[in-house]
Amino acid sequence: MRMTAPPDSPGRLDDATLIEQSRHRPESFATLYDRHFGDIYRYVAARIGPQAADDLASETFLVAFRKRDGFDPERGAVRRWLYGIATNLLADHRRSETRRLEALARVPVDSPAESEHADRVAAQVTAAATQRRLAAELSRLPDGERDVLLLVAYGDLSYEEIAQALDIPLGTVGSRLNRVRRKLRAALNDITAESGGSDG
Amino acid sequence: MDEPHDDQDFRQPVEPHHVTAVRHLLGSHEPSPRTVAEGRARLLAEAAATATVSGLEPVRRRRHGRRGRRVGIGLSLAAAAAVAVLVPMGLSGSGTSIAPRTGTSVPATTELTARQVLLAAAVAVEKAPASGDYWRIAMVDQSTLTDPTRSYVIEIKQSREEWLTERPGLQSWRVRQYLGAKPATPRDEEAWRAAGAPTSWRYPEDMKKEQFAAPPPGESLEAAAGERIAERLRGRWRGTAGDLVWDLITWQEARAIPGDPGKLRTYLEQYVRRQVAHPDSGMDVEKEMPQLLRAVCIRMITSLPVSPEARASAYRILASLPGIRAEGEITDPLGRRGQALVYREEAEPGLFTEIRFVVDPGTGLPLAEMRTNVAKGADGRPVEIPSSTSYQAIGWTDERPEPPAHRD
Repeated sequence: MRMTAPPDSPGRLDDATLIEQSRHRPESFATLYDRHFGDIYRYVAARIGPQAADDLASETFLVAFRKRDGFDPERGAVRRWLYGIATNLLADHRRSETRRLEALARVPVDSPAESEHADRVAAQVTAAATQRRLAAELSRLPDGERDVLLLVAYGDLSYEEIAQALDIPLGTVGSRLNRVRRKLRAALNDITAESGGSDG
Repeated sequence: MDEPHDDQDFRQPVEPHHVTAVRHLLGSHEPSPRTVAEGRARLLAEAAATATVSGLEPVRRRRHGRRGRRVGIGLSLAAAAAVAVLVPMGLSGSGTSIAPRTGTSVPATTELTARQVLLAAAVAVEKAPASGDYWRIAMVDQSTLTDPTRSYVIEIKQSREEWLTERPGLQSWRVRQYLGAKPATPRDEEAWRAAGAPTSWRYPEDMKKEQFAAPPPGESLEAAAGERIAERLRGRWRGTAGDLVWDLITWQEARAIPGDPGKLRTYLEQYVRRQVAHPDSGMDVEKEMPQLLRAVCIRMITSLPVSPEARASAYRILASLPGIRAEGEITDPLGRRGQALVYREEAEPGLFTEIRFVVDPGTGLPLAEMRTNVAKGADGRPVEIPSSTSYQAIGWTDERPEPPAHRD
């Protein structure tokens, strides 16, 4: 939200103004941290797990701070810029990301409690199998496709914003997402109905 | 090429339940208060260290008016873009063309076939220099969109340069400049004047989705040109030799791209399969291989620092592919004459974009990629939305990028 605010209430200044201000008042950057840390953390944690995320999410803000002179409001909002930096840093953690996904693909199906109804049990088994298929599919996605998918899923970024965040052509974002959609459709295909309503 | 019409909303390439499933699988982890506090402390420590130094530095601040933030977005994308945002109407001849057709066909004195144009370009491009300090690409992107009331068409321009190097001591740069926005034709200018000659446009959220060149919400499209901005390539872009449609490639990989046409074809087919193919992808890669090969060959020709032989072979592969026809000599958006090769690209199932790839057979260099997409006009009728990328330079040079007005 953009509004006129007294100059000394950083909580109400827009992000780009805060960056501008942080050039001569570096501590202003902390307001950006307060605003966006949670989002960046959730994105990073989804990809490499909460433990590694502690460090990488905070690293994202350090890198952003050092590069703040290079922030260019012409190229989109601060939020996008931060997701771009986080994604860049994640590139060095591809292997741990893949390992995490491969582990998720091997998670054994929980043995359901005996009292449970057979239908429910069947549904749970199917759901678990789907989860494993999805994890396997995600682990096989080319890095670029996984980047765009997870930016959509966790960053809630539009095509345009992803293109800016990753510094890739808009058409590339579109074609990657298109391929991802096909692959996920194939992986999730038969259980569409069950997975539709649940929100994790 | 005609696939059955797909019911999916083209603007929503990832289905909401896929997103839900992914989130369900990967979870939503909240940072612990301790993590938040530690990260904040790290940042403040860094800020404190900087504060003591920054007083000594000459202040080099940019003044971007809060209201007049310029938006040069989307333009770099002129080339491939518009995929997500168009109403799937197909390219019917009945579409009202409200924008200028920069590439008007003129009767060519000698009619060349697409194959002849491509083979001539192959021979010519083989003679291009094979090395230099920098691999340089310079281009101008042009795109169009309607104003927020859909009464006239606005044309936006942006220039881009890439200076890529692997020489030690040299820095890779990307330079760009927003060149401004203006009514596309005299008729549009009239409508623009009637609307009070605005120099800044804001778009509602729903239009942003449909017109890919529209700025994001909260930001406006500005008529005035921007500054020349140079940035050092860093992160994943540092040390790359560009991208081959799906992936960044290294200098080593670029050098390893075979020059022999047969070997190159095998190499590219394998690359495409690796990038695209997947047993569950639902995509028949072998069936779509000609289109995919066309895309990678054109990318190689327009942007990658591969050997002149490899570039020539890419032209030869193009010459062997179906679906490309010659349209004779046309004028590109920068006013240069070249041979137009036309093909259609399936942006989304059932939605085609027509592309004119303009080549100078004398040098073998591509001049422009001109795209025609179809969008919906105010009256609901289809309008053609042209966009283009015109190449001013593609090749090796020992020149240096012009010192930028400001850099990051």
